[in-house]
Amino acid sequence: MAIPVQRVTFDRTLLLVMPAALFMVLLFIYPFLYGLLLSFNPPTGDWLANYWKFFTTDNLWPTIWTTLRLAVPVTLINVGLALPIAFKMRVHTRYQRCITTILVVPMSLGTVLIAEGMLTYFGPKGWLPQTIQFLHLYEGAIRLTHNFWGVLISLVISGFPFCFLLILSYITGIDPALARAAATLGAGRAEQFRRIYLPLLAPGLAICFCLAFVQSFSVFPSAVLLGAPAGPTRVISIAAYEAAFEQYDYSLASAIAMIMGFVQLLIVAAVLGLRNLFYRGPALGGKG
Amino acid sequence: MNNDFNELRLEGVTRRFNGGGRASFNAVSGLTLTIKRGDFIALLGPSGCGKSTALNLISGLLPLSEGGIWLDDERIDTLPPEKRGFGMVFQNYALFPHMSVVRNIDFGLRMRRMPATEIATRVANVLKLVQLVGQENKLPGQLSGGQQQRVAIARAIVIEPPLVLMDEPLSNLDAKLRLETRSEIRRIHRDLARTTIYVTHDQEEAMSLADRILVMIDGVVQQIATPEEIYAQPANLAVASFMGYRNMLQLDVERTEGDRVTLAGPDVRLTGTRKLPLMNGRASVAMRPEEMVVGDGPGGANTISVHIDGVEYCGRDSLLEVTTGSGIRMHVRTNQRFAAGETVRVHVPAERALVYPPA
Amino acid sequence: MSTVSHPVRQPARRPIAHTAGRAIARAWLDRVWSGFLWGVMLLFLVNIGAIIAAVATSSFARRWLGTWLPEGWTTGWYLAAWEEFQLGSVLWVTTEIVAAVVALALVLGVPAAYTLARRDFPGKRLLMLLFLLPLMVPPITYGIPLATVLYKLRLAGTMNGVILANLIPAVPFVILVMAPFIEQIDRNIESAARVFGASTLQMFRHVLVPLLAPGILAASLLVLVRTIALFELTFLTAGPDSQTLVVALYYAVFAAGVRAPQSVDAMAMIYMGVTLVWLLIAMRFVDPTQLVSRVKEQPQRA
Repeated sequence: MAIPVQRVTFDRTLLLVMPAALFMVLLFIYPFLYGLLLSFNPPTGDWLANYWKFFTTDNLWPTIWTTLRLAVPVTLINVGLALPIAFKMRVHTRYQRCITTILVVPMSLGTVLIAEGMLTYFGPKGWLPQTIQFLHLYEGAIRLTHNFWGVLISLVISGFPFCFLLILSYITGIDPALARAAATLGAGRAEQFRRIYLPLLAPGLAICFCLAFVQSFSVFPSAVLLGAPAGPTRVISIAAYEAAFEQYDYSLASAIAMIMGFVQLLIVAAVLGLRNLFYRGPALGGKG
Repeated sequence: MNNDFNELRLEGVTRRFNGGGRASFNAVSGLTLTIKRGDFIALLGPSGCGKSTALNLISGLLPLSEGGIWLDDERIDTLPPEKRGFGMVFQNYALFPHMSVVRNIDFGLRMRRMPATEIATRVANVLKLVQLVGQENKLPGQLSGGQQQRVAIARAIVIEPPLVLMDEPLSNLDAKLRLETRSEIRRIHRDLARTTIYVTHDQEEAMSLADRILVMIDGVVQQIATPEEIYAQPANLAVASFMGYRNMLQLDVERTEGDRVTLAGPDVRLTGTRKLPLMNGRASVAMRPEEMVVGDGPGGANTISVHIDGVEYCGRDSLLEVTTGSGIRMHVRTNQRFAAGETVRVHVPAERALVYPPA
Repeated sequence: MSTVSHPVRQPARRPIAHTAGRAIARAWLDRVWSGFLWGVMLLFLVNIGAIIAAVATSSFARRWLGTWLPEGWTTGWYLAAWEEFQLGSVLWVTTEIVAAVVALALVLGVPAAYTLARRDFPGKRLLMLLFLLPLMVPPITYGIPLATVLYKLRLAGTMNGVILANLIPAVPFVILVMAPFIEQIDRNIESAARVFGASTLQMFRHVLVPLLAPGILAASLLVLVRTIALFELTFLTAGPDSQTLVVALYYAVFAAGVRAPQSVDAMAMIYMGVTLVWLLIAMRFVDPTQLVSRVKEQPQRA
């Protein structure tokens, strides 16, 4: 006859996570849902009026494409540059820490300072154009501010350090013994990278791409300060901001914000879907 | 916590795990055991047999799926571990890496809010007992494996618990240190007479330390007996196999006379002692290598002719790897010197050939 | 490598030269690639240095109009900026906000990280998703609805509102950073603490927090640096007297047409100084490569 078990006291450690979870629900989920409902509740028209308006207004729907035109190349550049450099920096030499720190410094600058600096440095009378003209490297006007390129450059400057750090973490998480094993079996450096590191890094690269993309897709101050917010760099966050704080149409603003989140989610889902085609297990012991 | 208890009683203790998918399995099934004060009980079994799980159930680190645990008349299996007051020595010591030896040892006393003077006295005494005087302020990282082990033991006994639980404490030590620490544990148990439950997969350890051994295989208790009994009279084939009865033959039952069973195979005829009820048909006979003797048995009975495949010299004796004519492999220990390729006859006394139902 | 089949009197020379040639080509290629990478890094760093230098020079310049170097130097702009933008109070407000965010994020995040790292329970994946969402969703997307909600709660424009807003990405970040640190602690140590009588609170106090100290420090510093630099959330929720430094800087730049750019540059330098100090402190204590993975390189045995 089985002796009935008296219930052990409820695992109280689960209570530890409650405050944080509650906080998230109240301050993130609730406003998010509130905004979602608000977006379906415009002052005039039916429940889809906001979205309809977005897609038919000429200074609204192209913002998606404008933002993507900025975000995707920036992310590709950031990840594409960060990967080889991080790979080079993976060996623990004495100056690795030093160089890593220097490469990470731009993270402290913030978009606003970079914008201001670029206006000075890249601006029409700044040092860079003056140097180029001085060295006769390029005749003709160079316009790197108040246009697409300005925003692009500033996003690369502020996004690269983060990608670099993240990819460096992933690379150092791959057991170097794997590459050594490959070397003893005859793989050269390029082969080692292609066949060992790259497949093991693929999941991490996907995550890095997604995080970097999120960061660039939500570009805001750079686009205003360094771009031409009226036209070529009218990104979607500007549209949302204008709706909220200049037209006081919070409903439309929420709709734009939802669209922004949705587009982003699509791309992230696509990238993560691609990543599932690659190896997803641990790169030996570390957190992949 | 009542430090003077008379018995610890486990009844029908079962722990179920949900495996991958929907299959669930019992890590421990129906464990029933009564331990008297001062006993030294060893939980012995191969890896994965559930002995560590059983220890975790007793300590409270795992909840029971079924059954109950009583300390005298008080039911304790509903108490969390911090309320049970047992001392525990973990396999990898689990010393707090950021605390010195003294702080590690007096941790349990501090949690009980004992007065500082009493803590100091107890710690000083236990340090002398485990011979760690002078190491008080070292961090665990600065100690050797053997020293860390002794800190772990000290930490468990300084709280003067009703029960000390040890989870394979010696398995991380090298052979020499293992023997030394084993003597230490035996000495401490003799001095303090604290009830101890000791988990191990090493039968030699279990036999040298324990008053009673509990053999567990696949979560089920196979036998609870003194070391002598387990060594000489294993209750079933699984226990015999684990306890070193390396020679297992499956033969046909020819005749049964009370306890004596005669078995026959292609080139062998043995009379053994029956340990469990047998049906007619097949049976397994288990024999220890060290109980097989080279040479003919009395009147040629219980004798097999074997071919020596290999000889392992072990110092005080040799281990012969032999094969019978029909290809059954066996092992025989002997003091005599042989060479591979020779043919010898070996025999085993009837009372040392233990017969069980076939596997 | 071709096999030479005629009788060997001399060892075949061609294969060896061929491999040697390839090795030389490969070494050369390596060097070119290496040089390219160093070149990119140098370009990156030089330009960033130049940007910073440009701002710095401008902040010390008396007048600077299109020439290589300004005409005359002065430190007056810093004083002007300090007064004009009320940097004293802005810095103080920033300190208060950031300190509160760090403290609250730790208090909420560390226990949550512990539970997520150590326990399995139904709905755990959902909970983890809940915590990761704020990091994946752009601040503007949840910032605008958040601003409206705060407005309804009459918290918009107050410091409490800004603190709450900045806490939303901070708590998940703490959880993310603490997770590997917690997983690194041997579970048996916690079991030992519990067996020897420690309640959960005592276990946190005596065992977990001391062992997690490096992780907590890392998380604090990183949240600190992030919050100082976080623009969008504060921008959307702050009022005139609850602006952090970065938002005040933005407004200053935005209205730069009216003011002299040099004072804005001075303010930008102050901002950079503040963040740089904290970033360097953070880098001193945090090895960034250990945030994500913890495989230790085994030293090569001789």
